[in-house]
Amino acid sequence: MTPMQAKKRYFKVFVPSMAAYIITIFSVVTIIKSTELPVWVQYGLAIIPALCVWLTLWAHGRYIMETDEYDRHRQTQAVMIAAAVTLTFSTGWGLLEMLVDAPKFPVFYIFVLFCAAYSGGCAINALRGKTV
Amino acid sequence: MTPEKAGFRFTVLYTPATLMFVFANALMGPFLARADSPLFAHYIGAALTAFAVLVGSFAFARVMKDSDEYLRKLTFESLGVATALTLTFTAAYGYLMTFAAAPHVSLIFIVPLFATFFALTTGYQFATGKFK
Repeated sequence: MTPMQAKKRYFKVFVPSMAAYIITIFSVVTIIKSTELPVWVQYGLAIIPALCVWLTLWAHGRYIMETDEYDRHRQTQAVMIAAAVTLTFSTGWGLLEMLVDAPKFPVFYIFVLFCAAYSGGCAINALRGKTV
Repeated sequence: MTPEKAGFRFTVLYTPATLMFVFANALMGPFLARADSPLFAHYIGAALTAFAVLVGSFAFARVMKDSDEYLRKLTFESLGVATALTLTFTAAYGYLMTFAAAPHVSLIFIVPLFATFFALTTGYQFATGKFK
């Protein structure tokens, strides 16, 4: 498969899953805040946006496996940078939360942090003259 | 570089990093939790733990660079699956915390969660005969 075909297949999943993510986030927040639902229903509803996150990550993984060697190498570097930044931050901040009473960091922002760090990893590759 | 040598270089770096992580958490934790422990010791504990995670991440990056194509692919598969599962879990639990009033979980547990997923996926690769 060519890198272009792999990218096309990636966007065919990425765009609908991100759209579904935005729709489900707003819907779930509205439903939970405006109605009195049993706790297990709230748990079920709260998990729906996470399934969209999983679908996006699965599509990204598939893209990395399907694209060519060069792109795969660059993507791998960017993902590793993102994972290192996310894990280091979560450990450091987690300890500060426990020991110094630092403000509680909402756990669902971890995915956002990973995405920001991944963009940073791609930017580093681009600055070094190697496009992702 | 041979895969054996790459594995040895990984172990030489990863083992002290893991020991530092365990030391900073298990041994310094009870000391730091005491009310009379100095504030700077808390920051040092947090910095040591975060540094251990950073060194561990660097060890992963180096083993992927040093080893051959096949091992690199297997390591990235494990890393990718572990990252995706960790992010999906944090996203799901984050929504539960925010919308369904689930109890707060410290960010410090994200690294052990990631390590567990990584160990499981690597174990699966061993079980299916991909690793020799």
